[in-house]
Amino acid sequence: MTGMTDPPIDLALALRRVDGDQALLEELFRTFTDDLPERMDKLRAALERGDLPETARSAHSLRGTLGILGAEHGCNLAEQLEAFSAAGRPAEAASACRAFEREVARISAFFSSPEWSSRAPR
Amino acid sequence: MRILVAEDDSITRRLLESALRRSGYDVVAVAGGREAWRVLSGPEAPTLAVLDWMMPELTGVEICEKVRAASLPASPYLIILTSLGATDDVVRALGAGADDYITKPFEVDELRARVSVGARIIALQQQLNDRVRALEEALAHVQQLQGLIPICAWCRKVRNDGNFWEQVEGYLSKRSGLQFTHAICPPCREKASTQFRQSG
Repeated sequence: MTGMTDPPIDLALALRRVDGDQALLEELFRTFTDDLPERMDKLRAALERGDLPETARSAHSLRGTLGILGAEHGCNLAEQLEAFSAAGRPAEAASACRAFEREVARISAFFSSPEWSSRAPR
Repeated sequence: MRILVAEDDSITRRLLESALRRSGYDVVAVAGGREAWRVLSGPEAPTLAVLDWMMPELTGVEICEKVRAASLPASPYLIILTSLGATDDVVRALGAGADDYITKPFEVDELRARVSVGARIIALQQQLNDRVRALEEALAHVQQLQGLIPICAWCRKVRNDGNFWEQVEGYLSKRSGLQFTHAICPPCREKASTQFRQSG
């Protein structure tokens, strides 16, 4: 079980997902960091206008990405947001989205640290 | 072997591309369902495709349905990529024409293993197609030897399909693979000796 006190990214898991290719992992993290603001804007906008199917799609897409990057807790929160949105429950979806955004902020902070890649197991 | 990767998420697409290229495959990567369908239905289409389920324009499952309904010259091996994972969804994907599925987040080892199973099945299918083609050609030759063959009562040449007269041994060799050795039978040898003595 992972939570707010654990690192948001399991680097050993992420490295295993890319077959040990450290350069590829760094490239994927950079792409993720570049794309993240736009993806989060899309998610928030869908939720604010009450478009729950689109919210579910955005959460689903982020869930897949976070799974690859070893962000297990973020992945679980995205899954909850997707499930509430797909079930047409806006209040629970809004609450899940707030929790998800907090976790995404932790993930962003993790990658903005210049020495993050040095923490990856070699 | 060429593989199509269709995935709208840039990170998953990059990972798929990289893992498959490192395994020696020629990868064509696209970000949408409509583009994936264009590649699969076009000339020199890849024989294997990894298709994300949830894509804009056309989903992976809809592409499977289109591919199976279209009767393409070479039917590709289709792997659906999904983070859904529920049994009903897997049954739906396989029912739509997918050959296999991979659940996200996937391990690269599993991806490679499933793709190599697909490559093996494609190779077996190709061998089977070659064998059927060879049998069809052999059957066509057998059929050409059936029925009435016009033969000259005087010189024994036969009339071929192009309305030309040719030696019977040439005609049979072309249609059956038979080979002939030439000799003279005893009555003909006697006749030839008599003619030779008379001419001398």
